[in-house]
Amino acid sequence: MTALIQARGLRKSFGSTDALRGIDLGIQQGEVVAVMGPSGSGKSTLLHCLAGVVLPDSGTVSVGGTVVTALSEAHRSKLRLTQFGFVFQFGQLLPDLTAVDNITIPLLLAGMKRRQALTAAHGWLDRLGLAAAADQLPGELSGGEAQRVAIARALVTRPSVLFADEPTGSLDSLAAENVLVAMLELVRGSGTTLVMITHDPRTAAYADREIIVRDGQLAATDRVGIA
Amino acid sequence: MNASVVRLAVIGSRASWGRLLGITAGVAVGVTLALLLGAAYQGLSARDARSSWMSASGEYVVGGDTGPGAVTADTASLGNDRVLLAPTTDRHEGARIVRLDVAAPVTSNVTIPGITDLPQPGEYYASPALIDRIERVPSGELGDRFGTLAGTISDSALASPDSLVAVVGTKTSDLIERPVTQTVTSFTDVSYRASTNYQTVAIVGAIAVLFPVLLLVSIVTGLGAAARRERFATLRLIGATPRTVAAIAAAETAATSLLGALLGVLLAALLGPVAALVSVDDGKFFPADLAVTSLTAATIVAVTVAASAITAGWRIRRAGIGPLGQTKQRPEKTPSWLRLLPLVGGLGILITTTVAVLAGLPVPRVGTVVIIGFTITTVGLLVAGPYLTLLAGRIMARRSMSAAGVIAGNRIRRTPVATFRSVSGLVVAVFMVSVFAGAATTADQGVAPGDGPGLLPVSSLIQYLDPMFAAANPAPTEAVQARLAVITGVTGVTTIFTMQSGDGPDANRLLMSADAAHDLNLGPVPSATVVSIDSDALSGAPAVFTAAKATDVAELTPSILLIGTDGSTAAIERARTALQVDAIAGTGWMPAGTRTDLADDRLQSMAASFANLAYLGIGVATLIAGLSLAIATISAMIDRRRMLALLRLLGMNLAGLRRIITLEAAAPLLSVMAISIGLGLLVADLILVGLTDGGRSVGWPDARYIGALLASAVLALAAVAVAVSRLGQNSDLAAIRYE
Repeated sequence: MTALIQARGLRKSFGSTDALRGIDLGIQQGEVVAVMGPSGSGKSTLLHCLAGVVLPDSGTVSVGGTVVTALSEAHRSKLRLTQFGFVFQFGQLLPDLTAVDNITIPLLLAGMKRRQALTAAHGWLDRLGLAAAADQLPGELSGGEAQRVAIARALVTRPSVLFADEPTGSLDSLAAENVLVAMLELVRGSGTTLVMITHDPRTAAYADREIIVRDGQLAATDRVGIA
Repeated sequence: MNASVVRLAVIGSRASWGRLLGITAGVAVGVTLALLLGAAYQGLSARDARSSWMSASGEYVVGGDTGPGAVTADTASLGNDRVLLAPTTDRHEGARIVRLDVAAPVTSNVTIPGITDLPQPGEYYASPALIDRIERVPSGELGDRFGTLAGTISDSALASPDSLVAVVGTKTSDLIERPVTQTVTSFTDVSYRASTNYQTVAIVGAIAVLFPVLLLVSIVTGLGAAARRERFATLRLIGATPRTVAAIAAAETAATSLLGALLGVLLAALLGPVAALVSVDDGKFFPADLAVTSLTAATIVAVTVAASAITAGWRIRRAGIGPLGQTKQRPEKTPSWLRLLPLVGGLGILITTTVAVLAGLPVPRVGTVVIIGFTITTVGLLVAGPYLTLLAGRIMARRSMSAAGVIAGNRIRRTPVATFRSVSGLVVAVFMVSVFAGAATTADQGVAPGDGPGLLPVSSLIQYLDPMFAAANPAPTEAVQARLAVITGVTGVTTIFTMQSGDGPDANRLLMSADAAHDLNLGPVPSATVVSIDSDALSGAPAVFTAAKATDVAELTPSILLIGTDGSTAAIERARTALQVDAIAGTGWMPAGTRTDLADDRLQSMAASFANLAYLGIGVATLIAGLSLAIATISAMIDRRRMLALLRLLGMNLAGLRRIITLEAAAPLLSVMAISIGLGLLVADLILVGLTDGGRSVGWPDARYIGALLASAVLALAAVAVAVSRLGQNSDLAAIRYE
């Protein structure tokens, strides 16, 4: 079976620090992968290389047969818009936009009419139980609500891959559980591939597979198989 | 506070150096302009004060008075404490010459500023610029009007190096015949009665230019505020108290502001002589007029440093920076509609005044009321700006169909105060230029049209006569006519008559013989011995001849000599000089002029001088405002690096980001500027109608206005373009990783 995401010989340095030291990795369509490892091990750099946010010094990344590392910035922007979604630990919502407007942005960028984009965004807010928060600004949302809005925004374009960097890292355990469950429901329901960085073994336990990165290399990759 | 900590906190990186350099340069530019503006304002007042002696006045001389203290043809009747003064405005090649004819005994105790002795009949003192002009042209065109040069009027008594002034010694017997002659006891204690309107408008104008300067200083001192807040958060994390970080911020700003302010003083001193070459109102400045005094420089430096430091410390304390960064999100308070009240109030004053004036109701001190209304409207525009920006943002956020429009619109509606601040300099500049350009159009309305069918040629000189004298003494008038006729370039001399009393069809009309009318060649002449035209023909209305009731001009009073010329400057000036040399009694009170000269009245020249001053000020204000806009835009991008990077992560390309930044600057700028233009022209109309009892109104502004608006727009676009060119650096995806 051909992997949706295929990384070969990824190397990346920042100054004298080697963040990635030759990583080979394949991730299947619809697979939920947890990336774990100590701080500074290269997890975030790996995720950014896979998403085309950062270009590796050497090695290749291909997604659905497209070699991401060979694309120009403009094409990578388009790829991010159409194929990828992103969720971070915090600070990812545009502070001047309401929750619903935040969700419409990727759709507007994709060329959808505003009215349709608003309808779609409201639909996502309903699915995530955030209908009442539609007109609130990010600063007025709780941490859990803000993360669910970010998830809605990441999935509203129905991407094939969702990249999540510590999506529950800033939340209390109850909120983290709720956010995680919501996110997994959505990705599994739509067949979206999820690549998720986490420090929390309980979060990682929800993944199909767990990848451990240490000193810029894959230390282990295990099937965990919950859910 | 440890100096090492301050040094590390302030200049810990290359970016910090760039920021400090930007603040220093911005403050230097601001202080330079503030000093030059202050000097220019003082210089205008100083030159008005220096030339105030020319406005000396006293009791008008009553011809034939023989009572105690009466002035007779005998100069001795003046005694040693009075002189006779007859002020007139002469002209040469379109330039105004202040001519003061004086008569006084040699033993007079009265002194005139700028000259050593009073000129005796046949002598004159002149300003250097007038002497240059006299030497430049043949004496028959100018010099012969005055007599023998006795000396130069010193600069200490002149408004400008360009001032054209002559103090001419004249016989008492000549002066007492003139209706403008007064007895004056002193030229040195004349309090300058500067028009309150002029002074108020000058102050308002100075504030209008100073405002963008202060804005620039405010904006540059806030450069890189977000990065600095993070640095201060780190200091808080390692134990610095809020008071300490506020003190560090104040110390940093004080040091850079001091350096910038000192540079500004140096620049102002260097640029003063260059700025003096700019012609304002009556001409260029003397370099000393724009010299910056030590006290002024010290005051401006101290105020700039203190205000910048206190503001910086206050901003940091208010930001509530904790160990984990800025803990208090301080969203802008949404501006309310109450901000419209000052604007509505100012317009209300102007509209009420105008309506009252048009209705013929008495309005005390109408000039002052109008200026107050104008000032309140200007301040009101600044107060209302954020609310109007909010409205523009709301409309844009709701109506926009693109991601860039939605983001920019929402950004504007969330931060209308900050958004308006970055464009307010240009908004004020455009408002002011619209008001002054609108007001200046009145000058165009008053100017007589050029040559055309039926119009009195603009090359003809009009010499008003004293009708009583001319009627009683026809010989001198006829002699002058004969001498004028032989001057090279003079094509004809026509005597125009009026009725001195009575009514009927000829009353208030200009009468002449039909033969003379034929010679003027202005149109069909009815078959009659005497014909008439409306007096408006002298100010540019088409001449329509009608048959007069009078049948013989000998029964009428000669009132005007009309001297036709070939249109050459030399011919006009020769004729003008001949008229003055021959000095027909009763004509010296008003030198001859073309209808263009005579239309150049005080109101027009005042409006035109305001407009010139305004265009100069607006040029400076626009440049500064453009600079501020560029810096504010760059600053906003630096502070939003993470947001911009996030948008790129979401798939927005650089062109999309450029659209956001451009829209954020352009949307409020264009919407509020449109309001500024409309309001400016409306205010100009209200001011003109109010001040002239409805006699004048705003016309279509001239090309300079359109040029100024285009320059403002180009500058704003250039400012945004410069800022946007740095977008790549400020939206690096690495910002997501590290910020």
